[in-house]
Amino acid sequence: MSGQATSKFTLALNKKIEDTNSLFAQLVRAALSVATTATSEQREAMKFLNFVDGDGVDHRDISALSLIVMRGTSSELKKFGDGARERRLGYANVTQAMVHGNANASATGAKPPEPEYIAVIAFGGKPEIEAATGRLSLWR
Amino acid sequence: MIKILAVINSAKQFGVAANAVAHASLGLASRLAAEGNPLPTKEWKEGLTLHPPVVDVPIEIKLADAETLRQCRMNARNRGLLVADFTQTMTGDTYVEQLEKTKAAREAELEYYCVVIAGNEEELKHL
Repeated sequence: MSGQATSKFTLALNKKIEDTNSLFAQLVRAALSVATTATSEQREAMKFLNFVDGDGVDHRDISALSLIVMRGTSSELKKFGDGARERRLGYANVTQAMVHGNANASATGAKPPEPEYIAVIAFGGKPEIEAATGRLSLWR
Repeated sequence: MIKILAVINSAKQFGVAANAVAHASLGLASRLAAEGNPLPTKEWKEGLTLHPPVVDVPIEIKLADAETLRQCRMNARNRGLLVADFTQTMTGDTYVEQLEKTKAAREAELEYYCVVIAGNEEELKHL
């Protein structure tokens, strides 16, 4: 067991959102979504482990894989999500319209506004994920 | 209706806390799906964009100190609720070392970065 993994998660968050509680809630929603919609093969590849502490208490279902937190603008998050979709990676995203409940409305006017992305999370092979991250920077 | 409560260690920097709560959320949702009780999802179309399905349940965020997280986790487990947690031993190195660090620590020595719990409104309000 070398512990070296070939897959990873990357979570990208909108750097312009200052309300950290809202950001936490929507990153939780994105993470719940990518795991809920994963195929059984993807879920197996996510490598969830049972961490047992020194008292024998289970701390179940934490992935062995790394999860990188990154930041960017809404358009950079969109590119990340588009890149994940093009590479057929598991991914999920949350936008402002979902939070405020005004997505799914019929578009009016000539050109509907671009979605404002809050959080995008993707899972897959390290080279594919890294190719999709583009101009995102690490959240330090 | 099922709801998700995430209790996050208020002493942690945002990036560290975000990593922890994302890990715990992935684990909790995966377990629910593997047990045949996946969280409900909703399809969203926004303008010309069809988004991938998004989990459609209320999510509550609370900030607390590490000791309150420990109590909250214990209360949730004692009530039979589904819980995922993330501790300081699950960071750094590879997962092999993380498993070893966790095994080497007594429960009381663990610093909880977050606890994520699934339950209904009534169950969660007593935590």
